[in-house]
Amino acid sequence: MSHSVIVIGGGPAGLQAAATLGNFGFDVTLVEQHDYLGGAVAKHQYQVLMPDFSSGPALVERLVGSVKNNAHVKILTNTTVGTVEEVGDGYQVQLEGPKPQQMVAQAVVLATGFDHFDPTRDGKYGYGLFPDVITGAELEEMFAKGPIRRPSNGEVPQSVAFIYCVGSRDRQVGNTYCSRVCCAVSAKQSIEIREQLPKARISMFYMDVRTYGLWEDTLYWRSQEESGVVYVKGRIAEVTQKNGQPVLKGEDTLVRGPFEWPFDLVVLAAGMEPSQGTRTLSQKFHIDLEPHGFVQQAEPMKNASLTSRPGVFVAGSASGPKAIEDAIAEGDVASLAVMQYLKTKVVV
Amino acid sequence: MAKGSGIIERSLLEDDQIMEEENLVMDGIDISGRWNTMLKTRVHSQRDLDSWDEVRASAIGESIDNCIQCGMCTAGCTVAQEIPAFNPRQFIYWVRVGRKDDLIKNADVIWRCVGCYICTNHCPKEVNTAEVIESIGQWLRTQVPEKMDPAYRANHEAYRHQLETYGRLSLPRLQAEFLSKLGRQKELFGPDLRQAAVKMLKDGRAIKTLLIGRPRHWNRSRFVLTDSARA
Repeated sequence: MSHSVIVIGGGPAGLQAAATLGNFGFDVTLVEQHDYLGGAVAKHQYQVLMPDFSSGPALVERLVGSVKNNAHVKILTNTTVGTVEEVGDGYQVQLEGPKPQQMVAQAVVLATGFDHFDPTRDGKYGYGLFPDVITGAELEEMFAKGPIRRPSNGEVPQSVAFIYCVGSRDRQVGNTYCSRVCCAVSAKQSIEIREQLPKARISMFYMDVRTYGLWEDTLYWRSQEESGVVYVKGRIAEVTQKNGQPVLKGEDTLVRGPFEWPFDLVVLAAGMEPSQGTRTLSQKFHIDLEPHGFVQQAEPMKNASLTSRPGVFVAGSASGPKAIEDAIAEGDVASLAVMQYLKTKVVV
Repeated sequence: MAKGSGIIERSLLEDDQIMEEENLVMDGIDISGRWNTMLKTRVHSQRDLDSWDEVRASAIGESIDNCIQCGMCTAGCTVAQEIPAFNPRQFIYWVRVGRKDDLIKNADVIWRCVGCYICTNHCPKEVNTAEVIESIGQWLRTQVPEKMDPAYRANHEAYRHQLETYGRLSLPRLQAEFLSKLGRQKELFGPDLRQAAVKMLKDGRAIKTLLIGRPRHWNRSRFVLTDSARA
């Protein structure tokens, strides 16, 4: 008899897990709360992906195609998880949506993703107050919709500032961890801005540049050497507005001394937080969270997708900030763990 | 009384940050000296990025974009050991973030580079640091020539002039031009140089040097030294 698996979350990790499990021959139900698949890539219409500058729409098309053309995968969009009960050989899950239903699954993969940090929670950046202060995700939407313009007056920005670590590495907002990808994503965005605006002055305000691993030269160095982007070391204490321009107030820690510099456009590299879905579902499935609120990986040295409960697996940024390519890899890691788990179970 | 002497922790401030009039009367009230002491703001608000454009556009300065401010250059610098104000990393940073005021304030030390190229050889990002510093120095020479020590300027100009004119550097001629630019021609006829001149006349080196002539096609090669090549 065939085993039934629920994959919760239709972002890159969930899509990959659903497709792979379907290819293994499991009966997969993919549950997505929104009316679209593709997660953050689709939500913010990422056109060009970090780190390899590949196409976002092409990725979504491929991943969605791999589940839609899969006879073993049933896709339920606009659907959320209601009550969850542990039954004999798995979990009985109430699905709420256009087609409410109850089903029993022998294994569950949580691919509930992340939420971007909401910068209105940190008033010093003036987000929501000054129109020319936007988030990195909003910049991606700007790339998708048309040329880069100042939201306040529609003019071409002559100067652009990126503020790193917004909502990350900051006890004041409660997030003491690093969101890992924002440095590299900002570098990628600065390279894209340079392609559109050959003369714009682009400055990055950072505490550390954490373009780790292979992204050091391919993104960080490239943004400097080929795109003429300037990195200024120092966190921004306050964004104010003067003569219609956001003004960044900070301390330049490499030469010491405070500065107050105006910019036409300010991009906040807002970090990643456990999503609302991660928080809700971890309670429903009674799995442990690690201290930052992400899903606890029970045995990361054995398999990245194991949680504190047998039969419940995690993939993607539900267990911590990560890049799209890593989320996709974890979709496969979780599929393997599900397969090993179900093959060892005695099926009556 | 010395300027700013009424300020506690005076040693933390630089002279040009302090505004203090020796004699000042306002509305009939005498507020001379420390009564009118004011401090200029430390906040930097005017970025000037033109210097960066000029340096990166120059043949010897284009690698400035590679700098990641790791500090390897200053750590190994021969001059920085002796003159802490000579900090190649900081000069590069000032240019890149548009701190023209700091560059001009510290222009007098930038020409202290001895050209050992340890910075260039150490740089993990392949910044040709020694030549980038030279490029920044060239730019500062156009901005604040008065900040250049007369001996440095005479040396710099004599070198350039000798090379452009003859295509080679001849020590006697270089020394003669350098000293005459400083009005120190007399030293040419001091006992040491006189002795050296006699020796070189005797062993034929003086004649050889004068007869060696310019390198082949020097007029064409000279172009790289001209301002039009730099532009």
